[in-house]
Amino acid sequence: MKGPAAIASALEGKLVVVCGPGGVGKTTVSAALALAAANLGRKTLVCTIDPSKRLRTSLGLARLTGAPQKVKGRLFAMRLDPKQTFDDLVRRHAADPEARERVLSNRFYQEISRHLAGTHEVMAMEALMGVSGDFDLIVLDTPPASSALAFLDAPKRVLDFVDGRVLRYFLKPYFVAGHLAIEPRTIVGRTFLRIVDSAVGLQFLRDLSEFFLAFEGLFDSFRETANSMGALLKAEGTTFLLVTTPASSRVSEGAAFAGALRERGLRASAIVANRVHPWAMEGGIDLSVLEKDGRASRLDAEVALELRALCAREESRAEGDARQLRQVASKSGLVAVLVPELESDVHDLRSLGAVASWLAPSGTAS
Amino acid sequence: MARRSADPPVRRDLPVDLDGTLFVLGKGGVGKSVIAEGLAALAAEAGHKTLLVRIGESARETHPEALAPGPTKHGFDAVDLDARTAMDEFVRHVVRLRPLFERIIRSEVYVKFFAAAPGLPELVLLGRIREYALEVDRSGEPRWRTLIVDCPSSGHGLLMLETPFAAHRAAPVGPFARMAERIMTWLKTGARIALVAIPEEMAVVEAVEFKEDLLERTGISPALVFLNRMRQEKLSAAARHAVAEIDAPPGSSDRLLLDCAAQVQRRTRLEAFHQRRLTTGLGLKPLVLAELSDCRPAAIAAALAGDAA
Repeated sequence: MKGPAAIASALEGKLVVVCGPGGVGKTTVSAALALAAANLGRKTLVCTIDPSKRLRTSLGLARLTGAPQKVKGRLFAMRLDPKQTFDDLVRRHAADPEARERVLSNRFYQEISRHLAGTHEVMAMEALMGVSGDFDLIVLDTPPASSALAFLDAPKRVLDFVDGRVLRYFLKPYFVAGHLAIEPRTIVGRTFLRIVDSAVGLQFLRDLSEFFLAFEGLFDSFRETANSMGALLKAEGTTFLLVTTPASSRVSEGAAFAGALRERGLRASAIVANRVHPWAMEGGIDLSVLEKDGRASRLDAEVALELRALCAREESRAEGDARQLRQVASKSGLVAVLVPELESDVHDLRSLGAVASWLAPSGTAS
Repeated sequence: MARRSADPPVRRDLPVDLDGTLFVLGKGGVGKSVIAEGLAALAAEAGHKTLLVRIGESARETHPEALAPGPTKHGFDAVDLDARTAMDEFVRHVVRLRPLFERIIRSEVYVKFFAAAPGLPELVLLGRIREYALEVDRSGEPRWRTLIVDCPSSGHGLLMLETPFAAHRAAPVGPFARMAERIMTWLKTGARIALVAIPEEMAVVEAVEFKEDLLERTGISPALVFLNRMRQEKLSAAARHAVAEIDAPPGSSDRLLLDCAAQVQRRTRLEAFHQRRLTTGLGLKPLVLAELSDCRPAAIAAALAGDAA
């Protein structure tokens, strides 16, 4: 499948998950994809975490809220707030108002809901599943992460942490009493508790204990969310896109990502290479005229020399990009769709449309 | 790539102050590691005993031995750290008995809970870096005069720097809190933060937001900011004049040259725009670096010195 065809088919599905390291223009690419799909007549929602002000401006929105907002035509946007979603989950599932308050005000919960690896991703999916019925397509801009793989492993990481078996083994007998009243049965367990106790002190453990006691009723719904996230990612109609740039020298990351998706039985559709030198684009430039042109130059000899040198530097930059892109494609086995480096920032729907036209040439006639 | 060891040592004045500990942070893909390595090489070249701490994010097989810093061919020492390994080392230090240690770090409770508890391994990791910074040799001199820490990409980097402050809030008393407090004090007085950005929308926005978040959560402000990958192509006045005035026929070599120059000009203006936004947003003058093709100390030194000139 050619690049644009891979994107077109992704936009015909239900969910496009846009992955990639930070700083590659993932959010812009997500918004542009959603715009392209909306222009094709699909009711589309782009979900993003904490977009920059300029992206909000580019979508023509003063602010993005936690509920889908209409941008234009069939394009909608929503901001994901993992902490808020987590709080809502607690509110919905807590056994009674007292238990709810205990969890929400617990210091350990506050740390976990903000910091626990994987929480953001799972909460993003939770928020997304709540609104998925209302849209033909959702484009999900994944939270910034060190690696594109973090998103895929999020459900497992979170489940590992709240895994009931581990808690029963370790936490409950210990924490019911709130102090070291009950000795774990094994020497490993005992030594372990001694380390925890000497390292973190009792107050921390009390907070921890309270958190787990109060949170107990929530584990099942939490696990459900994490499990349905796993199922949704595997579902027919879900595709993954990896955004990268030739400059970020992350060739091996593209390959690792493609491999990891295959391993997990997930569908990777394409790599989007953003900010490619315009001359490295397909049919980018023909420099042979510099040698062949017989016409007399109107340029001053010195200026001509200067510009030829400049041109040569640009050519070698373009070649560097092209080399990187060939490696990405060959190592990942995925087609790369190229978006050229733009000469201005994406700051309105029109410039977003310019990005969209490179991603999905058929979906941009508005 | 490496400076040949036969080269005579070159002593040059450092374009930036590299004494003490410098945490290098930035979004993924902005060239943070290259700059960290370049700074370490630069400090080493200036005669500083230098340690480069590279922080990985992946959990891996336990090799506490890997925590020992060793020399590199670039003239500085280096050590690879990740939170999990630092955590394992910490446990080994507490437990002492090797068989027991082995069983603990393989136990499910440890792997799934303790080593995954938010913040704890990061805190231990920071503690380890602090120990490197304070380490003295037999004569009582600091073992390293310069410590460059190549941090995880900014979100994770911020979380790491924030852990002692968060831990102190979560557990204000006890040995854990005392450890957090020592690290907090050291971060505030003995360490500095350098940000790396590139002239692109999100990278600049994130650098500015990072500064605000860092200040809010830790009370620390970045001391340095590097603006990397600035191509800074400058056209001569005559060339600029030609771009503006000469109307070359399509398909001619003149047209191609002038179009190329115009393209470069637009890009340069965009770079300048981002540079201004970064400067205003951070209240710091960025140290501008060209596109570095490698991290040889000479290359980075020249880039930095060129900016200072």
